[in-house]
Amino acid sequence: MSQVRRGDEHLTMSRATERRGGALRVAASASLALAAALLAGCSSPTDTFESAVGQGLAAVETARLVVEQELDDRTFTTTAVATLGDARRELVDASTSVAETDAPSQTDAALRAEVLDALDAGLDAVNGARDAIGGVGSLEAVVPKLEAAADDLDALERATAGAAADMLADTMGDAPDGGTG
Amino acid sequence: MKKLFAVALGILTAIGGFVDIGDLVTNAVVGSRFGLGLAWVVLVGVVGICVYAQMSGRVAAVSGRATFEIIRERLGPRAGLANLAASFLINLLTVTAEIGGVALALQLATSVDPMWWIPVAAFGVWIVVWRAKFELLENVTGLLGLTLIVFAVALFLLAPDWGSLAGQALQPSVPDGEPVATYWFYAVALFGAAMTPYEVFFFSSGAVEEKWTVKDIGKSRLNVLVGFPLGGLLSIAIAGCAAVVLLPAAIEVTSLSQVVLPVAEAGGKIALAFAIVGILAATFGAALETTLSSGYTLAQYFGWSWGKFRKPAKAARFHLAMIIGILIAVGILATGVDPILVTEYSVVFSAVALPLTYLPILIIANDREYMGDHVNGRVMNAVAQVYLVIILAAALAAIPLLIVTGAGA
Repeated sequence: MSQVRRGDEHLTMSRATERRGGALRVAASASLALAAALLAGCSSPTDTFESAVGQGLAAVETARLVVEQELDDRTFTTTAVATLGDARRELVDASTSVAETDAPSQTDAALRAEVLDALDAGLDAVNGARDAIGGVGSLEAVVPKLEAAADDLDALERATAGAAADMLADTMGDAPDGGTG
Repeated sequence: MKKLFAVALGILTAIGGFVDIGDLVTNAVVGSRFGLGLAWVVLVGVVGICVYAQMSGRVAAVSGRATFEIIRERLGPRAGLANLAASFLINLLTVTAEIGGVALALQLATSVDPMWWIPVAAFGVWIVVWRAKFELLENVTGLLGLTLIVFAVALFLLAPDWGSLAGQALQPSVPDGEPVATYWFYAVALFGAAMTPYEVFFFSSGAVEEKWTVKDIGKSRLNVLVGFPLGGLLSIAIAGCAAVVLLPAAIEVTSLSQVVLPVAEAGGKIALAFAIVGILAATFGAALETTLSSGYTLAQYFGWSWGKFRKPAKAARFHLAMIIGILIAVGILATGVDPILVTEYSVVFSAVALPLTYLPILIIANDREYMGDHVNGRVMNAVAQVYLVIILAAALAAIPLLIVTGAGA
C-alpha cells in the first residue's frame, strides 16, 4: 500500500516536474518571442531607411577621406584599397537592407526609391575610386562624385530623420491621452 | 640597475599590452559617435582592472598558484565550473576576435583579403605559443604595442579644440540623434573591453610562469598601477582621434580601416606605419594571451599539468586545449563572420561574465588560509565591493541593452 502511495507520489512529482519543465519551456519561448518582437518591432521602414542612409553616408565620407589622403600621399595604397573595399561592402549592405524592406505606403515606396538611388550613386563613386587606384581613370575626377554623393545622402539623412520625427509625433498624437498635443 | 630595468620593462609591456582589438574598436566606435562623452567609462574600467589585476597578482605571488586553480579548490567544483564555462566561452570569442584583428591589420598593410590571412595568423599564434619563451612573447608584443602611442601623438598633431574635448569628457551628455539606451549600451561595452576577464587570468598565470614570490608584489603593483592607466590613456587617445576626425564627417566606425584614418590624416605614412605595426602587435599579443588563457583556465580547473615553463610534452593537454581553441576560432572566422562584429559581441558578453570572474578573486584575496598576512585591507575591500556592484549592474544591463538597441545600431 505504502509502495503504491509512494508510486503515486512519484507519479505526482513527475507530473509536477513535467509541468514545471513545460512552464519553463513556455517562459523561455515567450522570452525569445519577446526579444524577437522587440528587435523586429522597433524598426519601421523609415527607421531602416534612416539607418541605411547613415551607413551609406559614413561609407562615402570614409572613401572621400581616404581618396584625399591618397592624393596627398598620406596613406599607403594597400590601406586605401582595404578602406575602399570596406566602404563598398557597407554600401552594398545598406542597399540590400533597403531593397529588402516592404513599403507600407506610397510615401515609403517613393522614399525607398530615393534612398536606393542615393546609395547607388555612392557605390558608383566608391567603385570609381577603387578603379582609379588600380589605374583605371583619374582619382582627382572621383572626388567631386564622392562629394556629390555625400551631399545627396546628407540631405536624405535629414529628410528621413524628419520623417521619423513626424511619424513619432503622429503616433503620440494618436495616443488615447492625446499625446503631448 | 637590473631591477629598475625589469620594472620599466614590466610597465612598458603593461602599457603596450593593455590595448587589444576590443579596446581599439570600441573606443573608435564610441569616439566617432559620442566624442569623448564616454571617456569616464574608460577611467572607471581602468581603476577596476587595476584593483582586481593587482589582487590576482598578489594571490599568485603569495600562494605560488594561479587564481583559477584556487577558485576550484576554495569554492568547489560546481562554482568553479560556472566560472570556467563563462570565462572559457568569452575567452574563445576573444581569441576569435583577436585572430580576426591580426588578419585585418595584415590586410591594411597588404590589401590582401583577410580570409587569406586568418590561417596565417592562427599558425603564427600556435607556433609562438608552442616554441617561444613566456617572457619573450610577452615583452616583444608588449613593446611593439607601444607604437600605438602614435594615436596620442596624432591627437596632438590634429590640433583639436582642447576645450571642446575636455567639455565632452568632463560634462558627458548623449548627443542629439543618439538614443539614451545606445549611450548606455556602449558604456557597458567599453567597461567590458577595459575589464576583459582574460587579462586577470593571464596576469595571475603569468605570475606563476615567471615564478613571482612575495618579494615581487611591489613590482607587480607598479606594473599594474602605472602601466594600465597609461594604457587607458591610449584608449582615450584612440577615441579622441575618432572624435576629432570621424565624428564631424559623420563617419561611424564599422571597420578597422576607419580606425587608422585619423592617424594618416595627422601624421601621414610614417604615423600610419606605426599605427599598423601597433595594431598588429596589440592584436597578435592579445591573441597569444587569450590562447594561453584558454589553456590556463581549462588546465587549472581539471588539474592538468600546465605552463610555458614546462616542455610541451610535459603539458600535452594544456597545449592540445590551446590548439583546439585556435582551430575553433579559425572555424568561426571561416564562416565569413565580420571580426569587428565578433569583437563587439565579445566585449558585451565579457561584461556579462564579469561577476563570475571577479567575485571569486575577491573571496580568495580575503582568505587567510591562502593569503596569510597578505589579505586585502579594508580600503581595498571597500573599493573592490563598490566595483562588484558596478560589475553586477553592467552584467545585468548588458543583454537587455543589446536587445533594445539592436546591438548599438
